This record gives sequence, C-alpha cells and structure tokens, in this order.
Amino acid sequence: MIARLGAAAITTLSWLTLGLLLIPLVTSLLVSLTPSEFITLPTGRISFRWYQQFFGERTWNAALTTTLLVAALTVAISFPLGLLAATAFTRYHLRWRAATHMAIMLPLFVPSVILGIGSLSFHRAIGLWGTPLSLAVAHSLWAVPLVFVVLKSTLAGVDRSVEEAAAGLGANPLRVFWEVTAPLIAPGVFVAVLFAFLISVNEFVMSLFLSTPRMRTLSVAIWPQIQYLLTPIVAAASSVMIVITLLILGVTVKLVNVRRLIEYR
Amino acid sequence: MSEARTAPLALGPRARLLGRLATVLWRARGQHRLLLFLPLGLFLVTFCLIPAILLFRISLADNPGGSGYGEGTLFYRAGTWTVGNYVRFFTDDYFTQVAIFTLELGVATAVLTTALAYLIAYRIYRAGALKKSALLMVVIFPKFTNPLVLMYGFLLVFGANGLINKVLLASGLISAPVPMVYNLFSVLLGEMVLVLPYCVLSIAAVLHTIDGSLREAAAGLGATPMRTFREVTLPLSLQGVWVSILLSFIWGIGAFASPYVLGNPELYTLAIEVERQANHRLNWAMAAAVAFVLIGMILVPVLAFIRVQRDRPVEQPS
Repeated sequence: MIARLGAAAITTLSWLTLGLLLIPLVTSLLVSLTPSEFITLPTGRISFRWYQQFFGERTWNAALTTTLLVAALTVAISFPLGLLAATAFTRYHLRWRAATHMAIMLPLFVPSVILGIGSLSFHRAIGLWGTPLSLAVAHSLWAVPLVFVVLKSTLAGVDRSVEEAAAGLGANPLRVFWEVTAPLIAPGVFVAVLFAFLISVNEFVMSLFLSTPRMRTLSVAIWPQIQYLLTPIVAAASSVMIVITLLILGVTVKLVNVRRLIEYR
Repeated sequence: MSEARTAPLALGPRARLLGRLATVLWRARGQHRLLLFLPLGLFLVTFCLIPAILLFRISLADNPGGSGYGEGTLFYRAGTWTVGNYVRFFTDDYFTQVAIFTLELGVATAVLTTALAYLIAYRIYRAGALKKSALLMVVIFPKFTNPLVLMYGFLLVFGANGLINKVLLASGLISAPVPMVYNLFSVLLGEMVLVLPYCVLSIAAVLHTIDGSLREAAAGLGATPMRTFREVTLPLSLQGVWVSILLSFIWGIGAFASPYVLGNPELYTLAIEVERQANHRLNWAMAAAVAFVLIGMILVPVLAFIRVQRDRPVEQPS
C-alpha cells in the first residue's frame, strides 16, 4: 500500500516536472494569439494582430534580422573550427586527450555573465564591439563545444575500413573525405549546424552585454519589456523564437534518432 | 613600378608576423593533428583566454569613482594596481550576503534538479522506443529555447494575473491572487527548469550503459524491484548523478535570468551583481572582481570532481 502510494507520488512528481518544462512555452504560444489588448488566453477566437504588429514595427524587424544574421555568422565560425578539432580528436592518438577535451568544453561551463563582460572589455579594446561579428564570436564560445561533441560522436561512428578501402583503390585523401566520409557524416553535420544556429538565436546574457542600441538581438529587445507584462507583443516575439526552435528541432528529429543522444556516447 | 614591388615590404611588423606564422605552419605541415587543432586553439586563446586575462587585470584596477555617467569610457582607471575591489567584496556585508545566497541557491538547485532529473531519466530508461523518443523531445526542447522566453512563460502561468490564479479565482476557491512569483520558490523552480535537461541527459546516458541482465539476475534471485533498484541500478548510475550534481551546481551558482525575472532584489545573485556593477554602476573594476569570486566558487567543486575522476581510464581511438 505504502509502496504503491510512493510509486504514485513519484509518477505524479515526474509528470508535474515535465509539465513545468512545457506549460510556460505553450502558454506563450496561446497568449500570442489573443485578440485582446491585455495578456489573456484567447477565448472563442484567435487573432494574429500581435504578429502583424511584430512584423510591422521596425525595431522588432531589425532585432529579428540581427538575430538571424548573428546566428548564421555563429555557424560560419563554429562549424569549421569544431569539424577540424573533432577530426583530429577521432583520428589521432593524443597525449593530452582529456585536457584538450576539457579545454574545448570549458566555455560551456563558464557563466554567461562572465563570458559577456570579458568579451565586452576585449571586443571594445580591439574595436570589434558593436558589430554583428562581435556577438557571433561570443556565441561561438558556446556553439563550438556543441558542434565539437556532435561531430566527434558522428565521426567516431564512421567505419574507418570504408575510408581505407577507398584510399586503397587510389582515391586521394580529399576525394576520400568528399566521396566517402562526407555522405556518412552528413546527418551529424546538419545537426551540428542547426544546434549552433539555435544556441545563437536563443542566447541572451552575452547578447545583453555586447548589444548596442543600434544592434541588438530579439532576446535583448524583449528584455526591458519582460518584467512589466504590458501587452502580448512580447508573447508574439517569444513565440517567433519558439517556432524557429521547434522547426529546427523538428528537422533534427527527422534526420537523426534522438535516442542516440543518450545511447551511444 | 618600383613602388609596387616594395609595397608588400612596407606593410611592416604586421606582415612580418604573418610571414613568420606562415613559416611555422609550413614547418608543422607533417603534424596533421596539430594543424587540425590550430584554428580552434587560436580562437579559444584569442576570444576566451585573453579576455579572461584582461578581465582579471581590470579586477585589479582602481574603480572609476563618481557616477561614471557622462564620462564616456571611464569604466576603470587604466594603469592602476589595487586589490581594493576584492577587499571591498569580502568586507562589505552586502557582497558577502549575496555570495552566501548564491552559494545556497547553487546547492538547492543541485539537490532539487538532480532528484527530479533522476525520476525523469529513470522513466526514459524504462520506456519503450517510441515513448523514449517522445520524452527525450520534451526534455530537450526547453534546453534549446531562450531562457528569457521560458521565464516569461513562467510569469504568464504563475503570475498574479497568470493562468493558475485566473482559474482559481474563477472557480471561487480563492478570493485574491496567490503570490507565486517574485519569491524564492519561483526562482528555484525557474532555475530548475533551465538546468534540468542537461541533468536528465547525463543521468539517462549512464543508466543506458547498465547491462539489463544484471537487473534480471537480481530479480531472478528474488530481490524486490525496490531492492533491485537500491542495490543494482542506483549504485551503477551514481556516476551520472555526480555529473548531474556538478552541472546543476555550476549553472545554479551562475543563475541570472531566473532570479532577475522571477525573483526580487533580495534574491539577486553574484551573476546579477556583475551585470549591475558593469551596466548600471559602470564600475567594471568591481564587476570584474565579482566575476572572479564567482569563478573561484565554481572552480572548487570542479577541481574536486576532476581529482576524483583522474583515476578513470581515458578512451583513445583504436
């Protein structure tokens, strides 16, 4: 009896926790569709007026453009760096293996506020501050470890004997990579690119430090309004980010089995 | 014509440095592994290590004094050396109280998150293929969402005019909104939601390495499910639990969005203090010092963890 009650309590607790992960996001999506001036759930009918306002106003538009531009730059920086390092990591015997791994992963464990103020003082000193590249470089500090981890596990799954066979048949290393390795790692490459993109779109604290009034991301544009809960426009802005995230994760799930995240490391 | 030929030489020290770099690269061309790491190494040194050193230098500079407003770029006094910022941190009751609260929040986040993460990870571990993927998606989705958006959703659900209060008011169960946000409870829940996905993944990954036949053997020998869990599954998954505790402590201690949006000034953390010193008080020297105290608070458990881990063998590719 007590054991069954305990089991029921544990089940309820885990569902409550899972609910806590999803309900805030679902609520944002619903509130953004309200026809009302105030923050309420839509009752009866839905309206896209807050989206019209979001896509109609120049400040929100500029923020959305900056967000997407910075995310694209983040991919362009972090993907090649992560790919080269992951290749070296899976192909060669390294003396300082554990230390190298830790050094690459380290930025992920530094509070973003510290990366933010550190980047701000350095970027100001070298004149990078105020450009989209400045934000992309900072976001790459988090995107690189993620790209590295995804590509490392993808490359580790490639059967070396296939590459060796191609080389044995006379293909040069570049051709081996392009015609044998690249198709094999393509899904992992796509996931790495999408993750880097998502990290950048949704990063907030570093962006808060590095943004300027003329160049700010969506998160930074939301920030001053969030505590006052004035109109559902913030819900619409949030929902735009949620939808971008959902779309990208949806593509990811189509490409790779999510279970691989925990089952092969 | 001669001008065109001498132009490259006229580029001066920067060009010569580039030339030297090219020579070093050319000599290292046989060392593929080094070449492959070079771009990432350069990137991390330039944009992570050097900023860290610069920040440490700023933490040892005199603060600008005055309000700082209108003076433009005077966020710290360049060229001065002092440990005054650190002395001020450890002697000022305000800063020490914020530090102690941050530490408590980190510990509370670690305990709460790891406990709940274990429940969910175990559920994922025992679920069938389809349910497993679905549960993983639910866990991963918030991890990739904007923390600010998550916290905003929290306000929409738990706020005074939020979903829950509206339902309760409409049903007549309560006559005035129940305060559920801007307190320790909401800060802790918010931080838990932000950290939980990583913890679930790290525990679930370890659970999936456990050989299922061990559980069957224990059951076959007559152990109850509870005893099987206590004596087989739990000890074998402790590695994941430690990783989860470490991760949630690190992120809990660096909490920023949750206490700022869902808390009140009494619940502000060191990370928020860094931002306030830098962006509101324009005192970068103090902000940098607070940042380094925060790094120190993170470094202690991480170094302890690495010491424990050092005995484990490192995998190398065959």
